[in-house]
Amino acid sequence: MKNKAYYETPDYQELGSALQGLVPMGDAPAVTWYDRAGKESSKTYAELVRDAAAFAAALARNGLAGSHAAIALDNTYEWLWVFFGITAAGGVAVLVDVEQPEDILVSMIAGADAKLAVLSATVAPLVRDRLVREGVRVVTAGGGNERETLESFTARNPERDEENLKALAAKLPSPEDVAVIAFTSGTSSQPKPVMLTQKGIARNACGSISMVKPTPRVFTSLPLYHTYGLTCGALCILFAGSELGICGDIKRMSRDFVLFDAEILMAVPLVVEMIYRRLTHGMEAKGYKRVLDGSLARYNILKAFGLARPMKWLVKAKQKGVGKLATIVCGGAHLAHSVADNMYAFGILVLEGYGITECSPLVSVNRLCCREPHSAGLLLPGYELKFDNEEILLRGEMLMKGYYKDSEATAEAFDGDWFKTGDMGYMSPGGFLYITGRKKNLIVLKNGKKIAPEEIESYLADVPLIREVIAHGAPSGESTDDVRVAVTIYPDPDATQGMSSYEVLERLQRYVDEINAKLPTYKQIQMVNLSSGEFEKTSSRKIKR
Amino acid sequence: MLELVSNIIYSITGKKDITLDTDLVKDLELTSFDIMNLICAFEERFDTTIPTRDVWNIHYVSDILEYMRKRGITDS
Repeated sequence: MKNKAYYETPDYQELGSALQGLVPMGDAPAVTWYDRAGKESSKTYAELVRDAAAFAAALARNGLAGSHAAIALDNTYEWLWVFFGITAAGGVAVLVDVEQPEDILVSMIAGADAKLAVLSATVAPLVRDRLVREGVRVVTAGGGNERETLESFTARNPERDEENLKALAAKLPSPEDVAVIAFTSGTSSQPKPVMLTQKGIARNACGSISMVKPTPRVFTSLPLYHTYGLTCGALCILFAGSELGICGDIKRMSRDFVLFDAEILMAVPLVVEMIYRRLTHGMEAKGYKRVLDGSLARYNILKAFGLARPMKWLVKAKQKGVGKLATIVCGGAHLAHSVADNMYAFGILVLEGYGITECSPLVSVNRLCCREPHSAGLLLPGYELKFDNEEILLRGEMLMKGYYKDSEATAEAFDGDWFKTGDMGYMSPGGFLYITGRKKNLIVLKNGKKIAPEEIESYLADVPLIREVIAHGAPSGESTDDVRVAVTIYPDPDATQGMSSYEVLERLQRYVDEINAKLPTYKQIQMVNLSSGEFEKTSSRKIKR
Repeated sequence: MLELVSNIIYSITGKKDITLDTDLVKDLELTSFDIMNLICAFEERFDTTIPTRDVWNIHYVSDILEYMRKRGITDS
């Protein structure tokens, strides 16, 4: 299937013009979310623009215009307000995952040279004092007893709204300026800070619209601090003038996207699988298991002949369960083929894509008009692609400027002006990209989270019983990519002399439990294996993985 | 209290035979979303708010009971 004409899209070169481009949307709803009781709140485009411009003015008043400013907030309206305020005024937004352990949060924010940090009320008490000692000014959003709040810092005066916006329009950022520092799990033990430009982010969001046109209501289940959530999950939707549903609390995601009744959902494979389970379990609970199995079997026979169509009774069940939802844009990790295929029987089309933080992030995506099942879709306009021994190399103006303060890692990541993705793949005759594996060692979980094995290994490096350790993903479910974090340990023969394997394992497990207590759930070590000998080494004495 | 906790876990995950030593991830094979849905059910049942960060330290069913005791969350 050949590519068809791209959808019409704005052509922003930087985020200052993009914010000005939101002004004509006026009182149309921009962002909607739900509180714990399910009560809906919304902000209009006019409010978003006013709040962002007031925040930009506050940065200028406080001598922080153009500075690095960190955002460590949950997925909230405030997140977007602060992001636009920083970037439209030419500053650099440092995007931080609030779920990171305190030490990493501090090192990310201070390491990126942020002069200001906007923190959630949950995180602020944990890291405020340490950040202040590092010379970072701390502003807190969303309640708590903090000294400086987002409202008091912004100090919005309605009489100055117009003036604030004019001041931004008069001084637009340069497209080549860095707009965002986002963190990726590299192969080092610390997440790598990636510098993305104004142009990279703005053009990637516009390019996303040209590939998959947002419908009037789009819900994102993605975190805003992640570039996939930011560019494809939020900016692209807002630039198109659609209403964006956000998930204020991940615990209520499955409820909120149904309340919002979106036509398109932005998701990672784990969310797609959760929806699929919800649909099928709902029918099984009503005693329709045999009928469902029979229908899906017939559907799959038709699919083999290219005749698959949504099945009427399954579409009805879908409407009852998840309302208008018709399309899911899915990326971040590999999705089980059977789930993507069977979702279409329910009338939900899953469009898979491929992206990496260093690419701002979208590289390719399937389109409603042209798609190849199980592929990662067509290349985004603005990117050139080639293969080097199957490794995917990319070139284009949306690529990162480099890793912040790490010219060595930046040089390693490029071959001339080609970025080496570390992912392996091939292109079909129709121009669809297929991803076949990862050259890098990353453990990629089904929810899209990536874990550097070196980080896990560093936690175990000081345990006296351990001579050598490697961390890796171990299969934990039906599909090969359904992995959990495992470690294989070669115990120190001297330290474990006279101990049985069982005793060694038991003592190692105690250390692992202590380490796990300090880690977020997804990074916790869930399996410990013993090796009877040393690991095989490379010529430079590095353990071969 | 264990029975009450077991009932909540059953209603969300369909998993039975819960004991104090049951490991939520290893024994029940819950995904991160299952755990989030579970916390949500606890919040609704006990009308409280449980910060996501607190969940890192909950591995066993006994940890849930201990957490509830420390936070003064009771079935009233």
